Amino acid sequence: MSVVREALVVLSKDLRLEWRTRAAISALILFVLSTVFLIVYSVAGEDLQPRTDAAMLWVVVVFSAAIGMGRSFVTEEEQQTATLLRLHASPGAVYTGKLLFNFLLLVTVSVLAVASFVFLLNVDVASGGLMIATVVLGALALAGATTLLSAIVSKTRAGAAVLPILLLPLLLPLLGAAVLATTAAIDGSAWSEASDHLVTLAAFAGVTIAASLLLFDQVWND
Amino acid sequence: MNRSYPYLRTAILMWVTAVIVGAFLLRIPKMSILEHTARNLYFHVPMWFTMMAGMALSAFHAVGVLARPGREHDLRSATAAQTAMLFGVLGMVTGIVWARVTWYQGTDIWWNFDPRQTFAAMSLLVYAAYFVLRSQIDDIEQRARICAVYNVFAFTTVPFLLYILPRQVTSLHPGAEGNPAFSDITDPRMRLVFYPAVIGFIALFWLLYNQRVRLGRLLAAADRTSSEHDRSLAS
Amino acid sequence: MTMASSNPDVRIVWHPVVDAEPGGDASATQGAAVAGNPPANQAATIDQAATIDQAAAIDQDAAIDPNAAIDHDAAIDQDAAIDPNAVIDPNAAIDQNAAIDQAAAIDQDAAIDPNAVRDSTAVTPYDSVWAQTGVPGQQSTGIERQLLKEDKLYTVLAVVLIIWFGIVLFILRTDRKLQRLERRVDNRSTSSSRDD
Repeated sequence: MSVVREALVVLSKDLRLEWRTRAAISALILFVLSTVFLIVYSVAGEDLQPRTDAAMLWVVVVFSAAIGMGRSFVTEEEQQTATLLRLHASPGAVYTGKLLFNFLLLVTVSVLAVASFVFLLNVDVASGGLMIATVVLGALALAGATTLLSAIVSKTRAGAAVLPILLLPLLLPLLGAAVLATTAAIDGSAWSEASDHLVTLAAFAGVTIAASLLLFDQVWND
Repeated sequence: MNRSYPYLRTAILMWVTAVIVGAFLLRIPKMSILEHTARNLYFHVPMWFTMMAGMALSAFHAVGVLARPGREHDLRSATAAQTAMLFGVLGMVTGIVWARVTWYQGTDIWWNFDPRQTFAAMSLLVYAAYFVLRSQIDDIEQRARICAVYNVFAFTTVPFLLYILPRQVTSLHPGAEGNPAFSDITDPRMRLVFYPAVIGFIALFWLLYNQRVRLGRLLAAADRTSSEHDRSLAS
Repeated sequence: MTMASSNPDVRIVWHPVVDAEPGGDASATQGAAVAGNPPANQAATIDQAATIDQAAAIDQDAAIDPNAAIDHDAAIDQDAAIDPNAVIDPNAAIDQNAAIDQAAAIDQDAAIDPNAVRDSTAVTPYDSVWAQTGVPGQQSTGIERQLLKEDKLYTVLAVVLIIWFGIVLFILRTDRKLQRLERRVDNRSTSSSRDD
């Protein structure tokens, strides 16, 4: 099978498993909602600047990713399906499949976060298209950084618990660009102004995914 | 190495001492607010250069671990990261003190949320996470490999943090948006001390790095010979 | 870098050239700074609200010394000291020192004079003149005031010397530890081979 087909097989396996148990997605949804409610309570109806809203949005998304994504490779090791995967698919295909799965999860999480911010915190997003682009690129960059790291942490003693420590410092470029782009989306600025930040997001996604593809083999094969 | 090392050490220490003496004797342009703290330039900036060089060395040896597994590259990679962090912390300290006595004189501010400073702190956190990861894996070979992967991965984001992003945002540092570049604002006279300072600090890094590599090797050798010793006693 | 064609009568008021292109050739425009330096320009220099003046190509002070940030010289703007926005706004490129600038005489001697540590008569193109003016600011407490005397030389000296002696001591201590370890490893390996 070609790499693309193998990757799609890995993706559909993960999707099917997820659909049956809904473990990861429910944890993520609940985490996002609880955090947003905490924020709503703490803010207590005050009017926030777009920059603050954008910052909190992405902090929520990043922390959900750090906490919820750790298990994607750990479950493989635990349920001992990892060997099967190693036999049937090339490392590149495994990585791509997992990347796509994480990407879909993160898009869902981000959309949910944006929706809850819009409804609960009364954030008025002026430029919807820009917001969508930011969410998609941000989720892609986040998935790019997270997938390899979750493979790395699956080999450690503490497992998924150490993912936030590894992930958060690396996400600073992503966070900065995403917050600025989201601020522009809330403010309703033109695309040309936010294009710098979108390019940074895309570049970050590109760099992390390329590096991960090269390095994944070393982590995956004992 | 053992024969010429004491001379090298003395030479490097003398060089850096000369740099320090020169830094304080050379006349510098008088700038308001900065006054004599402008001399800090000779120390603050070379420390960051050294940190970046150290991180590059660490990533280089990490690639070496992946290409040719063994303890040597792993030891060098970890040691380079450690020493780079030391210089990074020193650079951070000099930067904070510098800001405190000049632009923040009289106020209570220690951390000024300057973007470049924050990015630099984040890269220190990245390498601190590297050491956390090292402590989390027990198998030696696996640890070497996995941490090498993280090292290389982290290093691909460092250029973003230390180079690209600071130029995009407004900041106190030269080269950021609105500020002219470093070379435009440094009096050429200062370069007389600045370049030797960079060389001196990188040489200092090499000295510390070399010491710790030898220390690591000796500790490993001590473990081996002590177990041999025990075995020979038992026989 | 000497001011070769400098006229001793021309006073250097350190202010940014209004129409300079960003990041332009520093050496070329330096001459322009001196030449285009009529006292009439002082009106422009006091205009602190000129946000249109973006990239002052030779506002070299702004780089390591964004006067706009926490400018103690601007008696008008004390709030800048605690205004976090001012910190990252070097775009307020007008040198506020110029407003109270007394103007120093040009020093033809640009050669390196290693003996002059605090020579207040030497002036370079990079200087902004602070010597004649007091630096209003908030009162600093005891040891801080002591450290900040002598134009903050003591602070820099203290930081550098503490760090430097720390590093030297650490290097020497590690070397001693290395020698001890080497001796121990050698003894162990020779003694274990002797036992056979």
